[in-house]
Amino acid sequence: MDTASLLVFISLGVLTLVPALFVVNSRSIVHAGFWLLPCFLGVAGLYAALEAHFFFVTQLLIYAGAILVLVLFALMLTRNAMNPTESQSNRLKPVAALVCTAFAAGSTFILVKHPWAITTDTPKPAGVQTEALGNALIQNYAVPFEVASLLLLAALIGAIVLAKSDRGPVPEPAPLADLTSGTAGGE
Amino acid sequence: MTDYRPLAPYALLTILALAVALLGTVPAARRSGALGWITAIGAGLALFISSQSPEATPWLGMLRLDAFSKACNVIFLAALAIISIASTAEEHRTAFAGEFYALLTLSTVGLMLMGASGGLLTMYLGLELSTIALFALAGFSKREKRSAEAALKLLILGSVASAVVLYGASIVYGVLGTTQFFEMSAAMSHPHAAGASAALYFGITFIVAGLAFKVAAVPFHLWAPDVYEGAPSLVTAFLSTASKAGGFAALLRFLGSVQVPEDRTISTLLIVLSAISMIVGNLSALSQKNFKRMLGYSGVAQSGYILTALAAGSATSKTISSALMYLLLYAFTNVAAFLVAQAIHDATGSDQISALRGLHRRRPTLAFCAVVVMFSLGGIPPLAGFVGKLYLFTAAWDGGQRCLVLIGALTSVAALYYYLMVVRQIYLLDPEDDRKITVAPAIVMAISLCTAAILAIGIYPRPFVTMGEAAASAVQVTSVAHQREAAPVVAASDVSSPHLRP
Repeated sequence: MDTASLLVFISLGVLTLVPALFVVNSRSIVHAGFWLLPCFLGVAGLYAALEAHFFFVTQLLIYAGAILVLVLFALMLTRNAMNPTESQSNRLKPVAALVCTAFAAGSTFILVKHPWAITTDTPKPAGVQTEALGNALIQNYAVPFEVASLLLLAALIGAIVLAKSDRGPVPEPAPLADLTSGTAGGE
Repeated sequence: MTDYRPLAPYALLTILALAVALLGTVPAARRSGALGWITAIGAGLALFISSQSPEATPWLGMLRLDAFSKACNVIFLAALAIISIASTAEEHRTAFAGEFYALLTLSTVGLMLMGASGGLLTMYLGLELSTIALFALAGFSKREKRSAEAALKLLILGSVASAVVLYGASIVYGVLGTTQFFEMSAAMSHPHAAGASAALYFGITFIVAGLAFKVAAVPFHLWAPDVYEGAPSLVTAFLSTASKAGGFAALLRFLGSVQVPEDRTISTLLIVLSAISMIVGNLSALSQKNFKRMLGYSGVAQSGYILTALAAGSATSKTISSALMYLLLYAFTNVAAFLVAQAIHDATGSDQISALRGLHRRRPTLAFCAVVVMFSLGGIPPLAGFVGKLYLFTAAWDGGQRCLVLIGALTSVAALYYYLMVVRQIYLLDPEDDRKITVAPAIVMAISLCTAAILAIGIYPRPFVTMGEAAASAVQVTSVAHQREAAPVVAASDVSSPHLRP
């Protein structure tokens, strides 16, 4: 890897990881939501650096665009989703930090030592890559692709079950008050 | 041309899940308990189709529908059917009966995919599908805070475990350049491969650790007692049997078909997991007062027993067949145990072991079934638990894990103590309240089915051993034909990562 691409990689890494730290550490969940934006952009940049054009575009459009807006809307419509005065961690924080640092050091050591196979081929042009990806998704990778849709279905049903309150066997029409005070978790 | 017939059970269950979710909106269907019966019949039908369908490896080995996946399907579908029958008794309590069965069925589809996975990608998606459905199921009792706590714990820890599996899978893919199990073996045995490098073991360790979470092996067990206790007993019955069997199915598939050269690292890992699971699980169970919590710790210990066989080497067919047979009988035993917990909870409102006091006077049939279950868990002949444990420990002994077998035998004695304490409550103590308790007929039926299965496997285990042996030889197939067939997948996988090539 030459110096220029190393610099690009490091700066993109910083752009991804520093906002990610803010996401988990912000006391306000809305702030955390906003910090996701630079984080997603950093990941998009990493895809661009790998010349994975299709992933770059989808990351921008779907994550940084659609999903982030959806997350922020959901947060703003939900009251008291998180208490900004409560701490985000408990007394085990130093121990956890120590373990994580040791682990990061160990894994870096192992992964850096490995003789990774790196090709010097020039990547295929964007159109060819996307076409091959599309073919793979409906041919060899058809099962994982379809299972992903089942997974989303299960997540959807599960989210509805958890968010709605259970009124027993015969559901009555939901009173209006419930729509405004509906925090996640129902009752 | 791909032969799609072997996929019929998977398609049938998916349609079943959608159908019960839709039928759940019909008030009449909800009131009559019909949804549970539809699910149970659907599961039975899928089981029949699965046993009759031809073997295939569609999509160039992405899925492997063979004797092993069929044997796993028996475990998952039997658990689904029995739990659905028992759930009919509780259907009237919730407005989400349709969603309950839909999630249970979708989770089963995920588990079946884990058993049938031919590569890391299918395995991971199966794992996620089964776990995501279980997050919601664990939180199904809306009126109980413990249930919400169980759902949240499972969600957070389960997500971490999934991330760990993915991280490991990404490293293994980076080292070997493929996600398909057969090609992995080929890549590792390649003379120029950097096969047995530290990075590869590092990745495999991560995958094993993530799956160890799914089977609740120490030290990845901390969620189990809390979630088992908080989740509704019907869900716990599924979580502690089918879901655990799914984790083991994936482990057996992965370790059985990917033959790591000189796999001392992996077997050491499994030995440690097994030994501490047996010790910590059994010792923690000794002091429990809550029946479900005690069963949770006992489940941790049972995972340890199964891991003894895995530690003895995933290459021997005895290992795989004994583990599968144990998972099958454990499914019947533990489902019955949690259904007893559900019945007692319905009758007395308590989950404590003391709530079982004098059950032989209050409900003799239930007391008998509960005692059979406890003796089977404790491994007393002639019940299924004894045969299964004997087979497991023989496999481990033959594989050279004598020390583990000794630990297993010693901790089994300790385990017998807490199982017999339950029996003592049921038979030797007189009830404080002599009145008969009522148990829903559906639950009685489900428990009786399980008890019959425990007795049947214990007395005549031959067909189940045969099934396990067929499954074992299916896992170990590393035919040249298969590798030739699977070769084009390498070309396709280059797409997702143009810069990495082995």
